[in-house]
Amino acid sequence: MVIRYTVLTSTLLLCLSIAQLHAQQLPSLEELLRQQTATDPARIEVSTAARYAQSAGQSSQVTYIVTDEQIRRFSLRNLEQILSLFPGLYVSSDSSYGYLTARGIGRPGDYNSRLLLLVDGTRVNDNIYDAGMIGNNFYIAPQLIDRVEYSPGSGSALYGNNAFLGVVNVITKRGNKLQGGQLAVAANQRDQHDVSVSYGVRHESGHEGWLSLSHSQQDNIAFPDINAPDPLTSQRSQNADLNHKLAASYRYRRLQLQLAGVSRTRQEPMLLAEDPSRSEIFKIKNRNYFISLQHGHRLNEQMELYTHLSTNGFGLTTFTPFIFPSGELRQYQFDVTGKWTNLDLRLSYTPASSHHLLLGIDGQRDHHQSYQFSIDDTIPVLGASSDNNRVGFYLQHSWQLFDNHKFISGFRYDYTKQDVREFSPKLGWVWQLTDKQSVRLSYGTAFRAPNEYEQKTNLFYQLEVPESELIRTLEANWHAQLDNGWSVGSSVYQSRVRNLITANYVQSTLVQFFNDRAVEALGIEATAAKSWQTGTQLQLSASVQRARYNNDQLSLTNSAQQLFKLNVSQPLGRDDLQLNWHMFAASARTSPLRQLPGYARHDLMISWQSTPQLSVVFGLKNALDKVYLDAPLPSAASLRQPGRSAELSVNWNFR
Amino acid sequence: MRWLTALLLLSSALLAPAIQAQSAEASLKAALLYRFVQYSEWSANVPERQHYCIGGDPEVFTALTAMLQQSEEQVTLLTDANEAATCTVLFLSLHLAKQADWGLLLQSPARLTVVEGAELFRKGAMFGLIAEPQRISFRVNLTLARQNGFHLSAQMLKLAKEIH
Repeated sequence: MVIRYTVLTSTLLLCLSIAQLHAQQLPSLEELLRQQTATDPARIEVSTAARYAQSAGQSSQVTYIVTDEQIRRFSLRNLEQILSLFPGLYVSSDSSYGYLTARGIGRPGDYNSRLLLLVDGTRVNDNIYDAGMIGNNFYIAPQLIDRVEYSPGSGSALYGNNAFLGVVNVITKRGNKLQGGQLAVAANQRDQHDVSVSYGVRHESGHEGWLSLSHSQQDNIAFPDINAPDPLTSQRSQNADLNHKLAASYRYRRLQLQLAGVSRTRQEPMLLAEDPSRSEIFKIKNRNYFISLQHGHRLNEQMELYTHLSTNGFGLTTFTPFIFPSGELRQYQFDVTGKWTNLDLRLSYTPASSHHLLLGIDGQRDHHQSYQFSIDDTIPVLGASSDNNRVGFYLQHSWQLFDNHKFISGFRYDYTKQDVREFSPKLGWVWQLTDKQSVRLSYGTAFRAPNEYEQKTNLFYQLEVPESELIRTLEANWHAQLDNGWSVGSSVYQSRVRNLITANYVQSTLVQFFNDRAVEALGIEATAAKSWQTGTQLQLSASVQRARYNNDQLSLTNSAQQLFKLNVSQPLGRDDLQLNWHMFAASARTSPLRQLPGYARHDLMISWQSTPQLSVVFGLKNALDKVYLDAPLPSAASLRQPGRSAELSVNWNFR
Repeated sequence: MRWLTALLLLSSALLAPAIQAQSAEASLKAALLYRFVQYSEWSANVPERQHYCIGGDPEVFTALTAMLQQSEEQVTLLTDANEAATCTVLFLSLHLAKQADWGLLLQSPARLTVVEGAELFRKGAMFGLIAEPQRISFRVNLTLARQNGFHLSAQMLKLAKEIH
């Protein structure tokens, strides 16, 4: 009855369409910009797949988007939760870090080095582990994110290193959405409290900027290890995570200066190796930052020059308690520091309507890469430092051969100081079958050079440094906007991976890296979306993916072969009140120790946008309290993933 | 019971009527076009009445014609780039980006120009509609607008996604 009432009321309300109005009765510009539309996804503007803004249908590669509205409605609290909405991505957690598996490939212990992570185009994978941090320690608080674009596939022809399985670009909000003061508060039943304050201004001359401070704290974190012993579980109150973030942006026309920094302290009880009946606190301190300056300059009607300079810092210190031979409690201190600068120059040239050239050069100067291993920061045990450089040159040509056929070709050549030389070609074809239907074919390659950690570790053990891992991907995509309002798409891909860099854990704490056997990944991703006049929105994706070693046909561990994701938003009798249902289902995953069963998890959130300035979201994450396990760590320990949790978040804009 | 509720919600969603995507979106574009004109001032050669020209999108033309039927302003659906001589406001749809002659129409300084997509905007339009999932936003080339003698209201500029 309630549902019938909801549908009926919403339909009546929407009968007052702007199509029926005369000019004098039109909504204000602000109201028009809030109107919902069912835009054909092929017309949506994206910038990640081609490294410049264009309609999604013009690219030979697919780009998926999660919007700020979805982030709000589903109360997504960090990048990890945002990424789990994308087709083909699987996210797991060890309660400290988030681990991504893309299209069936995700190696245990890998800190997401096979996905290139960008913030407004600035590369933020660090220069030690190539890690992309996606948990609470990601640079940008979710309420500052305008949208996240994910372009799956081999992207090295434009982006070089790390764009192995795809590129994720987090795009921050601009002055139109961040004006005045904003307060965002969120809390959940798992003792996590987030507070974020920001202030933004925009002047009519085009100057705009915002500043944001965020605090996130989680106490009493449940131990994910299902076999955690009593001495640990009794100290659960000591298991805590604390994050502070600062982010700021200034823009004037096409100039952007941005900075972001995050400071994290993670502490968790651990059993002492020397006395397993005793537990002490293991601590991680993490300090990351970046400053970027980018500018777009129109040279003439045909040419634009983009300049992008960024400098980043990464600092990680771990404190591991142990009992010294003399019997006293001391700490191993492990310091990792990285500092690097990227410069990217891109020239966009349109000599004719049917041709577009993108020519670019980008380089990375690793100023500092160091490890220090000591006891209590006074007794040095090991120290190593290095500095590296890498440079890449790329060219991409888009050719509109006929009105409905477009060809894209390109390549990139990368060179690093460690004598890595990689040539990454790319080919694409977009065939516009009709106004509402297209077929795309693409072939691309990508590489990931061994990172500093992998190199130095093997050199320490006097082993050969592994070769770069390589991937070739052939992909076909079909997309259609159907007359009944459904937008549907499907991608079929085949990837061949060589030299996959894999860790071999000789003892529990020692690791060596080697190039593993060749892998073939096959998969299909299907997506469908529709918006109804009642305000109901539905998005679903289904992925079937299989990654196997070529020689013995064994499946890669840590990868679900089937994923199903569903997002539904349904107005509850009024436009400003919505029920939002997110369903996530994964098939069984294998780990070296056991088979991890499949599961389906449901998040149910009620969002209330009482005014454009005030939004409240309340609901249950993992509403049915589904118990499920993942094994993202090299130890293959089965880790319990978060259970049911009530969540409340409030966003208030003081204009 | 939980599953039943979920199933009911999904069924109600599937059975509900779909948005008439094309006409609703075209009406929104037409309304935005009208508002852009309202928030812009011609500093010289102020047209006595606006002549809206729509290139490449008959649905926007229909929506705008309906919207302006009680006013004296003129709306024309362009079938050829050569028909734009008297236009004071020009709207070009996304697919015209592939045709060079339409892009040349953006060069006229006395004309307020609104285009769809980044491709045409880069060719020198003053306003660009940005298609986003579930939304339309816009960007403004303020430098070009001022060069062409237009004054754009601060209220509108605050709502623009990008100011170039």
